[in-house]
Amino acid sequence: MTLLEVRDVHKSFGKKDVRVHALQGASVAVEEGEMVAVMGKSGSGKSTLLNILGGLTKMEEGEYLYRGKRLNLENGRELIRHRRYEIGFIVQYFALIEDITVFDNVALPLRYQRIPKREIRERVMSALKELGIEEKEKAYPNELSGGQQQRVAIARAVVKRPSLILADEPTGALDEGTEAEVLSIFKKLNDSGIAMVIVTHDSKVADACKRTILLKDGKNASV
Amino acid sequence: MRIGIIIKETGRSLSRYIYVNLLLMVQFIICLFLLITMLTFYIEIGDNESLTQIEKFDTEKWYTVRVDFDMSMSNVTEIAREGDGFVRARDFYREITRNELFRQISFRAGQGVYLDVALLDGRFGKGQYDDLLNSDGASSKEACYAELEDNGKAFTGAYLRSAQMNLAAFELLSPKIAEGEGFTGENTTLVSEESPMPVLLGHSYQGVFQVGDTFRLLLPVMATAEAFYNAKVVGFLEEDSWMPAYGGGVAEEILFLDDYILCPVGMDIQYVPEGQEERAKIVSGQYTDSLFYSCISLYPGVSYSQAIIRAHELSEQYDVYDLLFTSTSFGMELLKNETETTIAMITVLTGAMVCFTIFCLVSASLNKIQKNLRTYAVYLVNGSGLYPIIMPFLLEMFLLLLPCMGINFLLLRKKMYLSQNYMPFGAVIFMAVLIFCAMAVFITVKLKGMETEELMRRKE
Ligand SMILES: Nc1ncnc2c1ncn2[C@@H]1O[C@H](COP(=O)(O)OP(=O)(O)OP(=O)(O)O)[C@@H](O)[C@H]1O
Ligand SMILES: [Mg+2]
Repeated sequence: MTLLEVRDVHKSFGKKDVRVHALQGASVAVEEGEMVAVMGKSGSGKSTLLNILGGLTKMEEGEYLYRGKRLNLENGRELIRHRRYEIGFIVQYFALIEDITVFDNVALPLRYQRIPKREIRERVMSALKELGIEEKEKAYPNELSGGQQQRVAIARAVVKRPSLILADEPTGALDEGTEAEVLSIFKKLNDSGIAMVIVTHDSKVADACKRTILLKDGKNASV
Repeated sequence: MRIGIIIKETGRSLSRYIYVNLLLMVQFIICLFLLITMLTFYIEIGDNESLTQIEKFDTEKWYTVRVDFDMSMSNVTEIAREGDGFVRARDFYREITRNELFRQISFRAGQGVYLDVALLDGRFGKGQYDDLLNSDGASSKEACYAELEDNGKAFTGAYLRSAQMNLAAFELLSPKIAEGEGFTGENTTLVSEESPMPVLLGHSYQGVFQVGDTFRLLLPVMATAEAFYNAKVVGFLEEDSWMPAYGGGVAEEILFLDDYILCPVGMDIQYVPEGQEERAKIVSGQYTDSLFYSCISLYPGVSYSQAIIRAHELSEQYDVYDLLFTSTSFGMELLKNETETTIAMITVLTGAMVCFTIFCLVSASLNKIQKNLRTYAVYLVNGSGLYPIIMPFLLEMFLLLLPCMGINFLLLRKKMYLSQNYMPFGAVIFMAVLIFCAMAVFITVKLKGMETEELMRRKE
């Protein structure tokens, strides 16, 4: 079954004379439990597309279907709910909050879901355990290595049990060894049934995916 | 859970910018203090309601004035005992009652006088004047009699109903005179020791006493017991004459004077009495007491602060007690020693300070938003709405403002209580709330206008 589908997306930035057309009719469909890579040259619109999938950016034209239902992008609440319950986000530079602990970082999405304290504790600890960083629970992000930080970010994305994880160059800031580890974590997550869309420049990452979408000048290009 | 998020985030943000926040708080405290003080200096304060409610007085605003007893009562009479103290106190009173800024009037409704029982028994018949006894506060009729001594002569005195007012008050009230004359500039001016104190008698005395009768009268004053006067009946009040029940223990708004002996206070005593005690008696009984139960109204175009400053200048000039304008604000009190230029400067400074504080508040908020943008973006990406971001921001500002208000309240509490004037404080709180709301709108608009994605692309 199709988890999400965006069709004929247009998105541009800036004012008239300096207008950049980031997306000009791109389309993506992701099946439930599928792992998809998005590739393309720098500036081809990959991040923009991902942000649209995650409900972070509005598009000018195009349609967004999630589980067959149209997502109303004008409705701020609907977007927030979409982000809150469906999507896990992972970015290149981890996007951790520096002045709170690893535990609190990971617990963040659950707090917005109004989950009881006890359950938060259980779920955060089990996510940290899964990623092998449970002893870092009380550490602050800047006390961790890059790989550990990315694990925290991954833990934060999975802890809310999303149906879809969106990752924007998740291995871009990591060395090869760590990259392999992260990749195997992704595979495990995918095996557990979470669909994944991974923007990457790295063919090793793309190879790990079942399918690759190639973007060129904001449009789909054949692989 | 929502509340939990808000509190957590507020705590995080507060502790993260702790020094900026502390500095802001210090600034708030100073700014609020200045602002409240200046406001109380300029805001017109309440008038004397009890007077204004009486038809005859309702065309003007009346402000209550008292003698400022920072010094003790005995010190007040002390003034009169020293060298030229009598002259200073009298001339000060003259200036207060005759100046071009305000009109001063004194009413004193509760103070009785003593007359020789022998005199009363002779005129009315023994025990035939119970209605005239000032028994309101007394436990029994017997308590209205006292053993007194006048110049070495012992006698029994009866405590009679009496009221006092000064010439200005009498002229303003202008009660109808049934016989004889009222208080005039002439009969309230005593040119020598022989000049008697003029008294007006109520309707109940008419026919029993005559115009021109003289007798000894004890008008008790606060600080001295020896306060006998040679009194002379100058006239009788018409039946149903009244005065405001002001400046005494009488609860009603109007006091009917039929059973009363009306005495003048604040008489113009043109000679310097012999003897310290005599001088002390007149200063306390005529001047201090008069000023203690007094009101002023301003002449057109005069501001209340001008009047207060003038009164203060006079008290300095004559080196006597200061006047306490009880409906005044502490701002006024604090600044009454200052010249107009100083006050103008302080005002300008306060204005500048307020602007600067608002500017700091806005720029600190903007700065905080700017520094927190990435954090906010992370919140949004992880499922936060705008509300859990904006609320902590507002809560934080509120938590910063609250102790500042509290500290200011503590600093100014006593002053506000004294003047019963909480209005400027309320006004400032109201303004702070307004600014606070404006900031809330501003922040909401600012955050709403930002696309989450735009926030995300900022790297630290
Ligand atoms: N917020 C923005 N304001 C202006 N231009 C933007 C904005 N976001 C993206 N763009 C422009 O849109 C185009 C696509 O950007 P996008 O970030 O999607 O590319 P990308 O494929 O992710 O590139 P990279 O591989 O370098 O990350 C670029 O030309 C970029 O300059
Ligand atoms: Mg990109």
